[in-house]
Amino acid sequence: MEKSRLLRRYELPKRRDILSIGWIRRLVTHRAFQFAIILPNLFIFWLVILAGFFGTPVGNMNISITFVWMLWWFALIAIMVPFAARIWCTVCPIPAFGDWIQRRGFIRKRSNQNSTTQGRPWPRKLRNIWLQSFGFLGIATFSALLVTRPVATAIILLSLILVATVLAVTYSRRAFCRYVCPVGGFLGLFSMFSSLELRAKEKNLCKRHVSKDCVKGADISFGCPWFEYPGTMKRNNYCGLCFECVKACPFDNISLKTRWFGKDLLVKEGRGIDEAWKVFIMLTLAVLYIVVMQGPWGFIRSWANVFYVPPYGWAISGVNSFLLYAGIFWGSTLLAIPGIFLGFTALSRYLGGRDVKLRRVFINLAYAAVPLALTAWIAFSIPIIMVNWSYIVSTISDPFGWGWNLLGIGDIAWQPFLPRWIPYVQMAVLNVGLAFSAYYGALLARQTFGPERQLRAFLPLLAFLLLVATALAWLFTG
Amino acid sequence: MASTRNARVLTLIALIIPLLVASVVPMSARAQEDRVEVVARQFEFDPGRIVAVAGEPLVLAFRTEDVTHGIFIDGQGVDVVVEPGQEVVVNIVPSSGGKFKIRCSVTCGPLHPFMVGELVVEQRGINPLFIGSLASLLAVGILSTAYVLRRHPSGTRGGEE
Repeated sequence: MEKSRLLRRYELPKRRDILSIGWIRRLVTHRAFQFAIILPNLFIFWLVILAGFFGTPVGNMNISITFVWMLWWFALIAIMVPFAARIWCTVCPIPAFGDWIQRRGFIRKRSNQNSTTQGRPWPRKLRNIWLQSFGFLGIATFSALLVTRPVATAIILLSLILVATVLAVTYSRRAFCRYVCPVGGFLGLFSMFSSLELRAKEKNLCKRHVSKDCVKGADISFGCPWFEYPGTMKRNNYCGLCFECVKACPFDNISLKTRWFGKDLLVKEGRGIDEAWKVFIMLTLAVLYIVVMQGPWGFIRSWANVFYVPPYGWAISGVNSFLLYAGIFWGSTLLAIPGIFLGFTALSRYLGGRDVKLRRVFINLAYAAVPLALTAWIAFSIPIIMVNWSYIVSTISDPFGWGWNLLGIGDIAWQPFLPRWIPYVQMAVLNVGLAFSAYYGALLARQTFGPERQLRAFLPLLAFLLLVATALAWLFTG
Repeated sequence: MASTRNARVLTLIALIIPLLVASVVPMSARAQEDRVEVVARQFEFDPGRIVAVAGEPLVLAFRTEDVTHGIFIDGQGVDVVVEPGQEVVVNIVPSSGGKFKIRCSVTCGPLHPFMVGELVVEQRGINPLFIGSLASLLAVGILSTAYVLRRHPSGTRGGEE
């Protein structure tokens, strides 16, 4: 299909195919590539799990907290996702055991293996990201425990490995990654904003290619574990960058290119109410996390801290207050904020034209909030790394918090990095997010209502975006 | 073309509104106590939010209700330790407006990294950092819209693949 003028305009003028660089191509097409990069990561994973169970219970002195919830989280949300889409999925060790069992080997592809027919198909009703959203919300409800108690982190990581392995044994391909992984849900959503994309170079060539090796697998490769077909793939959402399609394609028809941020937000195909809701779940959670973990309201922190019993007793704290907290958590993410946005959407429809169904307007315009939601998470993560970097450094030397000093940096003093400037950095990031959200929001309004009614329809959306951005700005600087 | 005109109008608004926002915010200075008693406990400061006035001396008297806590105030050069049963008095004169986090600097329990309070420093009754933030958001939102309208005037195709 010919690309619209709009999309052509936002492609960078000289986009080099990263896979055309010889050594990178040789690397990713090597059968052992994914195994080789997962292996060291798996070692770190086990270290994290062991430290969670056997290390000190003091979170900021245990590698399971400092590496996972400080270093990894920041790297994931602020670097990997915006600049390299789902590159984390390339190295993620959680589904590795399932892959190895499913493939009956670590590296080699057996010629008699047909990965399209192995395992049961994933239930049709669950082919969406609702499970991922609920899973993420469920885990996020206990985040005050999870990000501060090493044993909780170890249990959740082990549980994810267990679920991924069981699902790999039962269902075909990476059903876990595509439909269940709680991290995968928001990685997919935010990867739409990424400046990296893996796509088929010539989609017509894919259409004509009868054997569809990228989908079904070939002698040297497995069919796409993510149930994707590069020939029609226009968005990053569900591409785990495993590079199996690069190995499979006999025509070298797969490219990995840089691009302008957020291009996928304008792609109509694949949009759905599950993804639209996910936008508000992530946007609301970012605000809630900033309130709970970085705000001055200690009583909210004690609500979130399930096992904490403040001196004033169980009647207004402990389990009761945690249930209140969980109610606010779930109610605001699933009902209140999407409901408020629905009101703004109805206003957009009223101003833009009632010939478009409200559901369609809601879904289309929701994608405008993706950049704002992503930058809200980045802004949330900035103080985590700028304030706590010294904890990360010291746990490299003493991963279990047992008093070791392996590298001589275990006793480094806590010293925030330029804390005075944190609000300024957060606001700079938030402004970038708002700029992209307003930009894509205006284009989505045009896409939904046409150029003549674009501005009228966009104004309520802009008001919503400004409202959320103002709330975040108040939390950062007010 | 209508969209280009809209874009020009929006650009103008984007430049004017932040100035208006800054000018209509009340200038009344908030009454300020010169000494504030702050209790540190797992995992909060009470009061969690302290409002001060730039250029005026502020005395913060910290004590702890449970374990040892550290007091670190961003950008104010404060980094002290408060032991149980002890009161630590900190004298500061905030020189510029803005929001400064008060952080616990001594590991005090599971949620220690999240034990934060806030020192909001006002100038002429307002927090200039927040007003500046609001102005920047307004300008960015409107300029982005103007940019789209200018780049894609009505009559051109919009959309996707």
